[in-house]
Amino acid sequence: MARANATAAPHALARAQMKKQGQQPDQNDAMLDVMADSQTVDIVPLIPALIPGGFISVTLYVDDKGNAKELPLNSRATALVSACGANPTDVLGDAFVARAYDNEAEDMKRLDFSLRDMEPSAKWFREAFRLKAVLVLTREGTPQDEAANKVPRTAHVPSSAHLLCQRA
Amino acid sequence: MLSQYDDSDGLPFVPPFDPPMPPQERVAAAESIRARGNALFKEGKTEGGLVAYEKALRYLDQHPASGAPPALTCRVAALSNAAMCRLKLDDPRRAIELCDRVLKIEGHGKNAKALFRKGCAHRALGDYEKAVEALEEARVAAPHDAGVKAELLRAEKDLKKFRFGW
Repeated sequence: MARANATAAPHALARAQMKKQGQQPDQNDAMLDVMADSQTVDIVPLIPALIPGGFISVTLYVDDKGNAKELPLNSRATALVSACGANPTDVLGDAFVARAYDNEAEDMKRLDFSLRDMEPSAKWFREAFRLKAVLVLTREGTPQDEAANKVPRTAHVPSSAHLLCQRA
Repeated sequence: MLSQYDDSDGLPFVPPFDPPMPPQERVAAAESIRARGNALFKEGKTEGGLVAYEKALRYLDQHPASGAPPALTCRVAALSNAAMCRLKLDDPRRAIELCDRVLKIEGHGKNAKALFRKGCAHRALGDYEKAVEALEEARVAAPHDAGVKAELLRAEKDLKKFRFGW
């Protein structure tokens, strides 16, 4: 999913990181090699798949070892995550954004995420904030359907698109 | 539709991120959005005002947020005005959250307006002890404010009635 853009060997970087943290990398070389070779991504839900949102999610995928690999700050993706109302987070390295339909009962369907969705006036940003408001009401004890009605729906979720958001 | 207020200032719903808007420009944009909120509120459009204040906060909150004095002043004003709108729109819980954010920035007991609005919100929720507590702090911060005194008297009366039934 995410393309790793490390400029140095991840093993060496991971060892350097462990030393910085006062750990002894030599004792766990084999484990460290396995860790560095593994390709995993951090999944950042920008919109989680929820009933009031019609089970449509928007997710950002990013290399979960960006810190150890000392990947550069992706200022565009960092600002994108922040624009969805998430807690302040630095996104390092390349990032991908994808939209999907997933009701957890059937197969997940990938949906398009177009260039137009990357504009700051795109409707799905409103949807992200609407769902946040619905979740707050639900946590406070308002039934989910009632909470969804209390927060006006201003968003329309397009059915077309694909991915995007490479390092700026 | 609430979105009509969002778009009325010509700025997008969230700050531009491609490339990201520099913090100084975001603060300037937030200031103009907040001013638009004030105008809407004065026209009696409380919902429109709230939409604008929340939008101003989105511009200020974008990471990395500016901690410069103009950003803090704008943030405190937007939070405080949004709290007033929430109160008027009968949403005291959100009003308390917003007031607490103001007090966290300004220091507890230092912003009479936020304490006053927090007291009003607690009173609206029937939480009279907390209302009296916040309003007493507001009276210390603004000893000559007639509105604070009057609201404190009302809250004390409510508390008495709640405790003793008269």
